[in-house]
Amino acid sequence: MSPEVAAADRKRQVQVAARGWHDAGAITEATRTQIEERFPDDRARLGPAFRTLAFLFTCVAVHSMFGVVMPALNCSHSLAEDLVAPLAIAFGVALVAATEMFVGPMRRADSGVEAASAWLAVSFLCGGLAWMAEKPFDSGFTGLFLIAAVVCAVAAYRWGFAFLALFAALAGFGLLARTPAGRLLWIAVPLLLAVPLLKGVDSARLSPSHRQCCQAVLLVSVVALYVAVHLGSFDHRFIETIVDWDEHSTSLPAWMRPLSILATALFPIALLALAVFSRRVTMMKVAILLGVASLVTLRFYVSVAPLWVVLLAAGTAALLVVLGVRRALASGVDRERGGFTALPLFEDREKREALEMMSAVASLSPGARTLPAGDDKLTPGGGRYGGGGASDTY
Amino acid sequence: MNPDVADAVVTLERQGVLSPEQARLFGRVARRELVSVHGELRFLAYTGVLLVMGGVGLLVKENLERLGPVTIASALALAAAVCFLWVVRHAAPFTRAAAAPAHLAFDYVLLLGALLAAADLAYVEVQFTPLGAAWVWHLLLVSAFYTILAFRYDSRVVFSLALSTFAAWRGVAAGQLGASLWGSLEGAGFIRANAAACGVLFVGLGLWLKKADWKAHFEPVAAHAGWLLVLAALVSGLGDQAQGYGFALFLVGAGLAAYALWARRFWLLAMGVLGAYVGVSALVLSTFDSADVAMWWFMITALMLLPALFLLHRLVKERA
Repeated sequence: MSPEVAAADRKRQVQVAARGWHDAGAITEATRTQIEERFPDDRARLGPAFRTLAFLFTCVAVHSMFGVVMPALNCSHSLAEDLVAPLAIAFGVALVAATEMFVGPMRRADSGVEAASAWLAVSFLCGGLAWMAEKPFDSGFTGLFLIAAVVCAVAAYRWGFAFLALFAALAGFGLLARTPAGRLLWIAVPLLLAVPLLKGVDSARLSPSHRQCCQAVLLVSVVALYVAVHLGSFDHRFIETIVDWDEHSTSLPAWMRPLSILATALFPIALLALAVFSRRVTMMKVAILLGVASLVTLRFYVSVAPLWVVLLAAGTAALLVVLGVRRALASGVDRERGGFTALPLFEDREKREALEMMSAVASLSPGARTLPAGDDKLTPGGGRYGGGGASDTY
Repeated sequence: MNPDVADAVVTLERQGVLSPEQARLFGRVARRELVSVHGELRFLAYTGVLLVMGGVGLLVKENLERLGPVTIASALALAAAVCFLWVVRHAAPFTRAAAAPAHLAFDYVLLLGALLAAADLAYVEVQFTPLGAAWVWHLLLVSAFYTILAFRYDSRVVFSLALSTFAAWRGVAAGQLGASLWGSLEGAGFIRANAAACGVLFVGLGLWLKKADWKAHFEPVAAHAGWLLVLAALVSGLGDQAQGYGFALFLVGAGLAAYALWARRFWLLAMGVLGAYVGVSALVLSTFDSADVAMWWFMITALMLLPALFLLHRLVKERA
């Protein structure tokens, strides 16, 4: 990442923070303007709606351009099939140049176009290189994982897109799974990476985009570690099947199973404790999700109670924890305890509410009533209630 | 931790832009000395609601014979009542404007109460049939109940659920419109008409709320849901009759984009632009049935639209 891009990235952070302070009523409009003048953003950015459109139309344009060029070179013909991979690589290289131009001389950031061109550059390069590598080496997915990990990592380092770092990490773990000691590496690598990544997330030397990349890799590593020690993954040889899709009978040392049971139970608790101790809220969310996964696993293996009892108890417990934690925090001095508060500090309320509404509608809406076609006289029956797994007919 | 913001806060305080009190608070947040778990607690509350409703569904299904319908119905009613009691205790007085959030978990306890009550109503109806022939109205009744709760307790989450329940009463769900696009849905035309009618109704409701200054902040929920339904209904018709629906989609999308541009409603603008683009593309592609033409069409038009978007953004400036 060039120094100019990194500097713009840092100033942008200050502007976004100032906007949050202003929206929360903590500073005046005049103060916000003063801050923006002192930390000027020289990038051409688009708002989220325009950005989404720009991303979509860039993808449409590039894919259809590929679709125009391919038949022109007769690539679908069996003799010309070998041209597809070089063509994809050529497209990838051209898109790398385009992305460099967008983020460099054209000073684009958060405009959708540069993210789309970076994403497409990586896709075309990975696709083309993997196609070329697959024929002589026949490596299964190993070649693809290796190429994707390297290309995505280099692109994430160069342009700072967190989603590319995420893909690099996913491909990296895919590659590790293809080795004979896949499961062991899924445990060892996250443990080795944890400290540098945690430092990277907070490092003042790294640009904000690179810090986000570290965060993305950290999240993938945490999930990978959980999967590696998870009892269900152990019993069903999840990681081993990435080497061979039909292979479910790889033998693992028997002593690992009790450890796996212990780890499935303790990992989310340990992660939550670490998240609270190090004050990392994203990690708290991950710990909650992994905790739910461990509870589901527990119910799957041990019938402690009927499933409905487990669900009701877990749901009620979650709500009671929310009420209890909120009350404990609100009753502290300045409505905080140990540096934690339940107040929404400078968050984007509109964005949060939009996400909550979409989640609620998607998961809790009732099923549609069955209407007889062409007859608007309503007849009894049909319709469902509930949601969130509760949807059913009586 | 955000070291850039932490450094900036120190600089801004030194330059006199921020007061010492402001700098202290902002600095603590940037250095992660003060951390808000507001979003995480709401996320946990949402997870709790999902789990409880999943449990309720299984409870009803698996324990009907063992516990008996009266016990189950009473248990559901009691649970809903507990939720509503909590809501009533914590609710702010009614106001036509947006109310200040009463409690972090307020929306979700209200949502849980509403869902439990609706599940109880459906269960009681199936077991004891008190609604009789009026059973067909039950989703409408539930939708009205959600609406009342949403307005009284100022919950946009519950309001969005009220709208989706109303659409469900008219036989509309998102998945059906998708199926209808690929021609795999019986009575697709009827459902499409219902979806479009629901959409128009929601948009109208939103306009009325804004005009009457009655929970005007609910308007975006109604408008977005409404336009989404109208556009989805038209898109779902492309599989049946590309020319007619394509033309209608183009007109509606272009009209919506023009209105949204004027009103500076950027997500509506995005929906309108996409709708118009899909509509005009359907018209062109149904006229020239060729893959080559399709590729050229998408390449040229998308490349033309990109600079147009940047120019448009210069005029209207959506906050980045």
